[in-house]
Amino acid sequence: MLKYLAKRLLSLLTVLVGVVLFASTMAYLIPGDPATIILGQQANPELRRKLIHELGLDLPPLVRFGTYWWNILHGDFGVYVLTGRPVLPEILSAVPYTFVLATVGMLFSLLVGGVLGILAAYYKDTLFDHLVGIVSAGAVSVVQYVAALVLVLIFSVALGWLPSIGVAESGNFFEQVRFLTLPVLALSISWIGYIERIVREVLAETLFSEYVKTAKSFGIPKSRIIMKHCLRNAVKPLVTVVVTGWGGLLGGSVFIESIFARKGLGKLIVTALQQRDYYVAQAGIMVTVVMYIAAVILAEVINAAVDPRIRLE
Amino acid sequence: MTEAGAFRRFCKSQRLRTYYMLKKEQGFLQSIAKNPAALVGGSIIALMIICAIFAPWISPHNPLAIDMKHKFEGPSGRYLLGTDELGRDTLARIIYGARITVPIMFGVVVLGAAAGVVLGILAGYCRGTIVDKLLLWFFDIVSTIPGMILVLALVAVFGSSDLALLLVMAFWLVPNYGRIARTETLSVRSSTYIKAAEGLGAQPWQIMLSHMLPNIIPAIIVIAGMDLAVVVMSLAGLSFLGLGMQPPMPSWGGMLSEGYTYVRQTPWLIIWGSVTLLVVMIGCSLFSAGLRASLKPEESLSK
Repeated sequence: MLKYLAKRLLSLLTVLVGVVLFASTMAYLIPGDPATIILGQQANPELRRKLIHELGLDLPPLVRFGTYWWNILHGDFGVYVLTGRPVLPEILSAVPYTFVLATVGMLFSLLVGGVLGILAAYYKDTLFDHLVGIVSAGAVSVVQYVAALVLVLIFSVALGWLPSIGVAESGNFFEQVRFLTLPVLALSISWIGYIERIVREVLAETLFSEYVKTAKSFGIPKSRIIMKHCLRNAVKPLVTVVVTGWGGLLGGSVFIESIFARKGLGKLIVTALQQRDYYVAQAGIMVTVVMYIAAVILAEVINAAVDPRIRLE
Repeated sequence: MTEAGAFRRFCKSQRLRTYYMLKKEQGFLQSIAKNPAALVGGSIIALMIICAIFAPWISPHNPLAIDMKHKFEGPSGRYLLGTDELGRDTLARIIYGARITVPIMFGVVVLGAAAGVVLGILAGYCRGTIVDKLLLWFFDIVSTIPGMILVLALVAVFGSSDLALLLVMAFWLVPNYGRIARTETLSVRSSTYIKAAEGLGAQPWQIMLSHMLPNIIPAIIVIAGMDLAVVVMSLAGLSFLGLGMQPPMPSWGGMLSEGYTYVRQTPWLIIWGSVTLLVVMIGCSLFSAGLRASLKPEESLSK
């Protein structure tokens, strides 16, 4: 187990190094240097030269690259070009908002999708099963931002029930729920469809297996067979999909956070890219990838713990 | 002489094999025609292509024509789907939106798939060597960065011209195809006919081109069908965030973003934009589901 984990960890670490290298070359490729961003296009050349010197932009690329890395390894991710505020606290303050959205969204999808999938498998080949099948096939195709816009249109503009932008500032539970409902729904629709399909497929497949027939012949009720014996088979694909999907969401749901004007990692990165503030964007991308890789590792650990065969491979 | 002759005969037998595969393709077309999902999906995609090619003839109005007297209108006889904040015809803008989307959509998928297949076959053929390891590393890196953020970052670097969008999104899709091509290559690599070709002195590129490529194509087509939807979605998403097609060019994402800005004035922009995207997404996924049923890549895998 430990050896397996160490091996996977090492290979994921090399990927992380690659991502970080990729992200940090962005600074040299992105058009427009920080001096121009701060001073504007028609800046006094003398002033510009001074600023470039102050920011260390006139140093050779390798030296800049080295300093950047040295600073990052010491926990310094640079500053916002325009405001001069340090990047790291800003990112860390955005993480909890994204974390709540991703976690609640994924749990909600798992709950609804799982229940629908189990019911569809239980009532296999009935009208209910077909209906759920059609609805979830449609749900998988629903684009997140389209769902978000339509939900805003219905529940905020037409009915006026729920707020369309912002996050709950107070810790009040109902306030939190009010602000989370629409983003979570928008995020979940396609995930619900996806999870429902997985659960139903796995269950429908195992319902034909020999041990299910045996269990049936012993007179064990169908609901018990599904819950106790068949559902185990769905654990592995579900863990992979749900946990890595959650890891992806932790990187911020760019569209959901932009539409609902929620504070979060995705919005932070997009805003930074729009303003060409590449230190922020780089740091954001690195944090995102670290969280995604952590989720991948988590999924593998859970699966290895659940299924001994993986450890032996 | 004998070696060359043997190789020629071998190539002939391979050509026969391709011929039989093509004959099977005929069956494939027939099975698509019988498959309702593929038929509906295919029709939607065909409709998009028709809109894209014949936009100037189909469109009832000029998509850029401003008519301030009729702004924020709902559907009417004059403007079938209503108008936006400048009184521009929504239907015309949807039709012209297809004109911009379709070339990029197919361009991205074809380019991404081609590059991915070439790299994947190369990696599979050089299995275990440094080339294979580097390529796998590259695939892992690209697919570990969340898709939308990778595309946004690259668009920030390379700009949002049509060509840049095409290249950036194709780059994003490369690992999907690369991994599949590599796996399939590995699975046929040890088969007897590849060994025979190697034994007869066929060059690596000959083996890759004439023996490995045909094995990979069915799986690639299925993924490509799904990726059409992904590309349309991301393209509209980019324009929605204001980083894709720039106004006043008509684009589906731009329509949604205008609809969001003026959500209190008119619901129609969001409604028509969503309907368009939803229809296209469902069309692409039905088409790809139909393709999968007709091609059955898992069968060709186990063969």
